[in-house]
Amino acid sequence: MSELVEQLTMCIERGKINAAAPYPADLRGREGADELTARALRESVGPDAVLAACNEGMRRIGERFGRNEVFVPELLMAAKAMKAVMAHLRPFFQSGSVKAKGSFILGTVAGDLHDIGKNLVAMVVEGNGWEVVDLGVDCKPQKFVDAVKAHPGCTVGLSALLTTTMANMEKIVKEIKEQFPEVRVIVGGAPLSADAAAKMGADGYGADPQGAVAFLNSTT
Amino acid sequence: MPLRQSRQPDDAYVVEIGFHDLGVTKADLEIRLGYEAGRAPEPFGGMIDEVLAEAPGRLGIQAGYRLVPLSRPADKRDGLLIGGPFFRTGTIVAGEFARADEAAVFACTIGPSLETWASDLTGDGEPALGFVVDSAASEFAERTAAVLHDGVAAFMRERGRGVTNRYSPGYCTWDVGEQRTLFSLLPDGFCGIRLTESALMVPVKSVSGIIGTGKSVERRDYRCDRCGVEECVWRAVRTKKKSETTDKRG
Ligand code: B12
Repeated sequence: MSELVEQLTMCIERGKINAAAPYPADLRGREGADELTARALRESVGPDAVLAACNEGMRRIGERFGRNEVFVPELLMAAKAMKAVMAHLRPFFQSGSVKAKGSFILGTVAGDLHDIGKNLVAMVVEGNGWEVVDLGVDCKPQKFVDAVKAHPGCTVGLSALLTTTMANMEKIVKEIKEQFPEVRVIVGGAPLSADAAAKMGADGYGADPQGAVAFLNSTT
Repeated sequence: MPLRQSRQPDDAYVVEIGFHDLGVTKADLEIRLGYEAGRAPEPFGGMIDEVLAEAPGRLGIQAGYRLVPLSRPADKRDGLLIGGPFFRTGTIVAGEFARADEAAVFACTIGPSLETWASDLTGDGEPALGFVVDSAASEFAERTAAVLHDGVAAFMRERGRGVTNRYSPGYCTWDVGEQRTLFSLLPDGFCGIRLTESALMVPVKSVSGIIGTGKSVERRDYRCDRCGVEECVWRAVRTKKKSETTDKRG
């Protein structure tokens, strides 16, 4: 049993999705996260234990990313393997027997149409066990406010590409903080820095998806 | 092969640039993704091959410039008069243009297709390939600007003139908001690029900027040591690779 769980952790860390997936080359033909999860649930490994095994895999790849041993593509393969696991776990989340770590509302701020950076963050945060509510691009303050209302206890992430749209970001942070002072907000995107984040009243800054994960995990 | 350009009304020029002019290699894209040249693990190496094979059919490169008079006012040393309006470019850029008397205001794009492809892939559960496509698209856009710059340099050489480095709003303390004024100097819809209210160019994979020209102008390397923008990406790149002399800014 514990070997199965350890294998699952390894498949997440290495981004091995299923038996048919050719990546990584040295695991070709072997069972992946998809089959191992199905087998684990059949063999009465509880969904909580499956989730914990996967979170450990995501933690390991995140650490290697932090050490520059792997790069964004590897992080995304791990997130994709995690998605395969989530498909099996969805019924447990729906019935409430397994709980997501919390919800993360994420959007690109008003005036900005740039979505790839935000989407990468969404993918990796989801892979780390959070429910992600993706509001899309060009999001006005009210859109964030409505989403916060609908997801009590959530954390908010804002993304921007240019310094001109950072002004809108500041407005959104202020609006959220005014109405929901307890809601934690993290900002990211190319023109941002920890300094800029602090100045606009955000609680955190993340340089990459792993930064968002570290922030979220630190607030639970 | 020298580039071809065609003249438009009001001293504007459209320059023809194709995929092969960009000279982007697999190694360039590997390095961009974080790997060493020739060392991207599978399946990422294969993804790069796929993008390079698809790119020629998907690139919609458009590039051009307009020549306008340029001067540095004696009473406002932190900027330049370009084609009429004053641009607060900061003293670094203004100083680089001290000997120039004309500016090539340029814009270029690789079109929307790669951007859409990357977005679709990310949405369709292929985020790694989506990321590779997006990174490649950025490389193509940066290279387009570099090739356009070389083209302008060659056209100017024929007229016995030199060119400066190129500079873009949003770099070297030059406020990106001035992009709006910069675009007012270009014909409407130039290169198929439009600006949003927040000065974002659409398609996203586009670059704008200025190149100074003049009889005694020389192209020098960028001087990151004189700039105060600590978090600038090029400062980081230049500090890492001190020997690099090619200019990629903007
Ligand atoms: C590649 C690049 C380009 C490419 C395309 C960029 C694109 N976004 O598609 C090209 C060459 C076309 C380009 C053009 C321009 N660029 Co540019 N570009 C860059 C560069 C080098 C990398 C950006 C990138 O694509 N990264 C990869 C993507 C996936 O990363 P990302 O979107 O940033 O997202 C990551 C993180 O930021 C983070 N993240 C994102 N959102 C969030 C949210 C949260 C909550 C968290 C935690 C994390 C997070 O995680 C993501 C994944 O790792 C940056 C400098 C830098 N190092 O960031 C400058 C940069 C963004 N560009 C800049 C500028 C100024 C421009 C231009 C205005 C220049 C010009 N006048 O032509 C134009 C604007 C284009 C437009 N459409 O209007 C400035 C912006 C700052 C400013 N002054 O506004 C930067 C920061 C460079 C600088 N001066 O230091 N650019």
